[in-house]
Amino acid sequence: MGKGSKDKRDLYYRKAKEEGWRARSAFKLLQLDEQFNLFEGVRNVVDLCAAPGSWSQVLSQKLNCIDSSSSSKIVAVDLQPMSPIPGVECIQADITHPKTLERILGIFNGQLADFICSDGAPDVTGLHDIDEYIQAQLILSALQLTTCILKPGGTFVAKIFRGRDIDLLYSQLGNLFEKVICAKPRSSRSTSLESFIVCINYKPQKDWKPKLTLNQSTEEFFKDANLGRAKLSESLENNLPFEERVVAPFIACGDLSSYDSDATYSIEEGKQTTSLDPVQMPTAPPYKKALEMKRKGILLRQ
Amino acid sequence: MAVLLKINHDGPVTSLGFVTGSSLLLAGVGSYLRVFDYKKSELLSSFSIFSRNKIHGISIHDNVVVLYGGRNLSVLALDQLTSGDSQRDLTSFQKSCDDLIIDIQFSSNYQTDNLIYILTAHNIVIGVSIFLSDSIDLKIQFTKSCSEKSLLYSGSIKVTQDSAIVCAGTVLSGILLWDLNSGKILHNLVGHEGSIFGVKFNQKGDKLVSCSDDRSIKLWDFTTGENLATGWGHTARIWYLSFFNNDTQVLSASEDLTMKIWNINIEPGSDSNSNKFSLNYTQNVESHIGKHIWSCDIQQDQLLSVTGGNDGKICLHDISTKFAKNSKSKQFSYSLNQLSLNYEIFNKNDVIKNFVNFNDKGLLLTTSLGNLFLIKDNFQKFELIKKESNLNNQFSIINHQFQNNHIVILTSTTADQLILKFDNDLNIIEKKLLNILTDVNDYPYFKITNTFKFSNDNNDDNDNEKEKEKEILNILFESPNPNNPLIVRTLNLKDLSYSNDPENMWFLPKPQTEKRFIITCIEYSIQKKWLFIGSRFTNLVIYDLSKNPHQMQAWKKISKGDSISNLNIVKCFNDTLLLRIFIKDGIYFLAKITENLNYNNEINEINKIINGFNNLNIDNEKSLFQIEILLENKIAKGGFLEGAFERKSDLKFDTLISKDHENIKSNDLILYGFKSNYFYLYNETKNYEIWNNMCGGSHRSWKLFIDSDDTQIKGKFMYTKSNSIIISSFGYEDKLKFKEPVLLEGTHGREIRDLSISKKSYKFSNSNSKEILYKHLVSVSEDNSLKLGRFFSNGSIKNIWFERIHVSGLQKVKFINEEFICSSAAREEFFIWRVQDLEIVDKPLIYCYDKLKPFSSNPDLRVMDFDTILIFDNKNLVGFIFATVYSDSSIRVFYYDLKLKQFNLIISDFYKTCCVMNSKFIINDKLNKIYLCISSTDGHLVIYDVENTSKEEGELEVKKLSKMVMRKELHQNSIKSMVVENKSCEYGSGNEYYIITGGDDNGLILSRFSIDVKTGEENIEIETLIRDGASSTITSISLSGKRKDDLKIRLIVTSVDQIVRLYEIDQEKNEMVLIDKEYTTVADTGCSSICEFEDKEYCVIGGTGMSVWKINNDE
Ligand SMILES: C[S@@+](CC[C@H](N)C(=O)[O-])C[C@H]1O[C@@H](n2cnc3c(N)ncnc32)[C@H](O)[C@@H]1O
Repeated sequence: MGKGSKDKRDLYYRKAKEEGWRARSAFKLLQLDEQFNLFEGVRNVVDLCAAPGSWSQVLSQKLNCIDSSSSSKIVAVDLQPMSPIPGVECIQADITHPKTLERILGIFNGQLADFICSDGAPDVTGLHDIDEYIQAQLILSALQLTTCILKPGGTFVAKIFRGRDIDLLYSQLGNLFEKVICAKPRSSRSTSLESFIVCINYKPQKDWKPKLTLNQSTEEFFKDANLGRAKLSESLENNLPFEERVVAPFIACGDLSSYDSDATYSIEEGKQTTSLDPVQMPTAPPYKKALEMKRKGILLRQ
Repeated sequence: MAVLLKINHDGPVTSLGFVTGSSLLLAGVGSYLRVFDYKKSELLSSFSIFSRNKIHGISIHDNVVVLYGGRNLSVLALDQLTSGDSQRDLTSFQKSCDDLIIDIQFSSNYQTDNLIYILTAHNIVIGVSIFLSDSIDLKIQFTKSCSEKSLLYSGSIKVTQDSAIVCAGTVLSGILLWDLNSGKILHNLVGHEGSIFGVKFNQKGDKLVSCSDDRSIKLWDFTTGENLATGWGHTARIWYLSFFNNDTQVLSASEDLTMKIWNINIEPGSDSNSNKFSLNYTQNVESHIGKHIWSCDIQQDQLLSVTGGNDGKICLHDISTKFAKNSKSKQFSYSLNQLSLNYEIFNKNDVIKNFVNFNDKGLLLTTSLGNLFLIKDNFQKFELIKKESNLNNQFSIINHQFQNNHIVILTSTTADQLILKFDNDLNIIEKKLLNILTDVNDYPYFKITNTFKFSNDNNDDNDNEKEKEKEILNILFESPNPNNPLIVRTLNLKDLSYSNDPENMWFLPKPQTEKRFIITCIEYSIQKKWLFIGSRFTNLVIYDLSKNPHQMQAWKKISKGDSISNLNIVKCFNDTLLLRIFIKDGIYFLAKITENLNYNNEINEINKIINGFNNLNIDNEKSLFQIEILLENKIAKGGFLEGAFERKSDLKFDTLISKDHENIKSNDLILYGFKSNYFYLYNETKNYEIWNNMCGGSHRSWKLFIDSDDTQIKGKFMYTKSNSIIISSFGYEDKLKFKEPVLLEGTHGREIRDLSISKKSYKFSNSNSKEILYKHLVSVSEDNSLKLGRFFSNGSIKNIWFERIHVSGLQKVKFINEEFICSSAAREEFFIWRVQDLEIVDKPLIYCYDKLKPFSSNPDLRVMDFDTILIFDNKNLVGFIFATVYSDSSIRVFYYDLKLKQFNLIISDFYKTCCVMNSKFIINDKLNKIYLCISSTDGHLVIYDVENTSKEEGELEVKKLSKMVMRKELHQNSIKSMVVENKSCEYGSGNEYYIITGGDDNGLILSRFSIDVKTGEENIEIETLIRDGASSTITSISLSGKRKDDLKIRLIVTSVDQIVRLYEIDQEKNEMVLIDKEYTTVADTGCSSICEFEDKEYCVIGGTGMSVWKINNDE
């Protein structure tokens, strides 16, 4: 299918291009904000898994960073390189690596963040257990940063896939925030399992001081946090059945009259028929060379 | 007791492990372990291992088996898994870590230290000791790590004499090798791009192989950390890598569905340090469908491998004979050079033109310069048969007859014939020269371009007839002149002469077609005396030679494609004949052909040529023959389809809880043809490539010889390649390493979007077995395929056809009665299929009866759902009314005329702009009302009155929908599933309907729609609202046909949280409550269907895989 066809099928994709967002994801954050008024009084922000950067664009605009006198600070992190955005400091790094978190802490230099978001999604393998695990690790890493740097009362937003263990995550987050809501912006396709957890009013765990050390896994970090996570017992006893599961309330956000991301729209008559170029070209995947070789027919066996 | 009982499961095979020194194979299918005797291809037993996680790895040491998946592991004794009918639920043995397990290995001193090493996803190794007594106790001995606790995607532990080396594949392109004892990092291998998906040592411990998201395979030197070679070949991610064959070869398995064998080539340098290495793949094995080979293992002693796919299939591969570098031993060739040298006739311009195979005893070749060579004595010797000196003609068109007489007929374009008769040792015993035109006076300029023989080589059962026919051979001569007829002459095989009795000399007129009529294949039924001819541009012609004068009927352009490549009579009995038709471009049909007893002889010539198979219902009335298409399908791979044959295989009915060893055979269809540069044999029933040969492509003369053997497929593929003839044999291994390559059939290789089960039960009976009941089960998947299978009453599901006619991702499929199925898909595809289970054929057949033409020129709408009303005329089904709903909010209602095969649009309208998800008619005969109920992504339920828009005779105008009688907001977001059930009269007016909806918002809602008898007013009421009906999107709802205590309606609800829930509606209280819930390992749980066998209810759940449940309605 050509470019034009994607324009037609996906109205948000088209709108993003028209409005200058780097990705259609921008609308998800905008619709979440519409519902939860996320940015009121917010100055310091960490945007994890940010490339190509449409969330950072939204943040930059909303926190008025275009104005160079602004005292806001936005740090954006991704595995992939990002082209610059006014008022946003970009770091290319792996958020599951403790060193990355340390770097972010360094930039904030003792200051606390008001808002932390993560739109991270791993390259899915198709093997559910692995994909769910990696996704959970992304959230856990974001949560690690959150416990180190989010000010009490702050907000944490992260992308989740509502798979089989989602109720477990809800219950764990419930220990750290006053309210945990599962929100689905209308710009997120209902055919996808994607939704967002919006965690409001951070309350640090009372008898636990998060301590980030370099050579430490996420499991070790949260070991004593008492979040109801599985622990390693001496005899490897299976403690899974005792894990608590709750269902977070679901809120669909974005106006019902806003566009439906599952629908096929016809492009209005008379409107431009040539398709727009994507604002941000996708970055080079690791398998670029293999693709090229396949195209040239070099991959055939001799 | 639980109401929902799991009885079967098919789904991704995530781990495999051979048990060394035995014929046992362990396979992790979801959270179940299946134990096979692979030599006998028999399932021994199945066990439930983990309560939620899938089994991702298997490690075996003597009698100890360690299984792991996610954070779970389980240590079991092998005896436990092989001793007869032991306990099947072993979930009480599961243990757990605090992190995802990547690999588990036994220590080299396991005998004394009882230690296993567990590598977790944060690059930490936990040493655990195992105490096997009455119970199995584990104890952590140590936890070790190196200085990097980064996240791993892959890894392996190489156990050494006194410790181990950990190979850690990180998320960001590096491979860390560290020493377990010291925690010291030995190497950080860099060179790959993207996440590392596999890294493994060789047996010797001096080299490693690795793969990453960059799709390459890299060979490393352990001592230096140097990258020795990089191999390219896979087109998607690689999930398995291992050395085998004494570290000389590497095996890989990938997301791209191939298993590849790589040779490590070494080009010696001045000393061993300067050796140059390269990695090349030499073999490619395709035996799975959809996407992903997840698991693989190698039986190193036997040189055997096994692969497991996302399709749930387990397939064995012999990686010795087939892939040995000297595979030439099974292939030999004669070059023209070699053949002619001794005779001093070698001419470099001479090429092999054609050849004949003598029942696998030898070959006769013709060359362009008119030389004839005979290869005999089991292909060991050759000789030149000198051409007749008094004839300059070159004989290159060959025909042969070889049942009892080894006779070869060579024909030249000028109608000269050389007939050779051989004895059993292929010595020439008679030779004759003829010209077939000497006694054919009418066509002096008949140039011959091709000849075809037809006699007794088919499956007709009429023995007497056969004997008589054996003495003669009919030969058909074709000329390029469209005005010349086809000439058929009868050769008497006793004295090698043509009969000149006009009775035995036939002139068959060619059908008049726009493009030149060129024959590509023929088939003949002796019993019926029907001659079938296939031609270029897919024309099919039947001549009835039993009639005098002969009668002809032709179908022009029966399919897309270039030509008919093969015609094949499957069966002939009484008045019917079953014919297989193969289109070179990859389509095949099974057609039932009967004589039209009402045929009007007077009918004019025009009617003898019918346009295609499009309108058979009508064309059949006026044609000499009636054709009914029973099956149509398209091959999985591109390329050329040349033909097919059948072979028998065991049909097994194993489930998770029962084993069925009844020896029942069923036929597999084996297709053959060419794809790009190779020739293949493909098992179409079980979907795997049996054999291939890199012959260079289809543009050559070739023959396939299949040895008649019921189960084992063996034979020879012979072909010409430049100046050589190559004979390549397959299936003749002395000792078979296994009985049958496919151990588990599996299902779709991608997510199953919908499924439906026939109401009617059918009986499967085999001469020596009891009758087994089954239903037809149809399922559709995101990979564009529609599968028809048998669902047996014990819970096992067997595949029959994977239909590949759809070209886009499917949405819905439903049986609309016992015979018709409808399916809908993206790109505006809406198809009607016909399923027939005839006594004369061994399996049900499926044919795409009709397709709704898309409305837009560039169809990009998804047909989200549809509902159907059957229309009868005097109890005969004459048509359907369909209500289809689309992703752009359109709603269309059609009347479909079954006989005319015509869709008539009755209503065309829009709901709003959002995507409509569900469509359901509500019919109330008493009040004479028809409603259309839809649900959509905006969370609303909408009901239209469509009663006054139903079909009236002669009405053509397309109407709009009348205004909504109801619009109610039920869910916050998309309504994913909706069912409607009439509430029993006993508990209300009879004009009340339950509408149950499930949404993206986790909500499950019971609404009651009622029509007031007096006022006719409609009303809708929410009766039960369950906000957290599931913890994720509710994807399907299925209604039970039974009533618990004559009162309660049961329904099964599936959700992507992988919990199957059973709800019950109390009709008195108008209330819905949860009764039971069970976890399913079928991920992406998206559809379900309930059916009944002899008063018991079963539910089939589909997602990435399928599971079967029994509903215990007594509880
Ligand atoms: C859906 S995109 C984010 C889109 C972004 N919010 C926007 O609006 O442009 C997900 C991103 O997660 C990033 N990601 C995945 N795993 C990561 C990791 N371990 N560390 C950092 N970024 C990661 C990917 O590189 C990808 O760019």
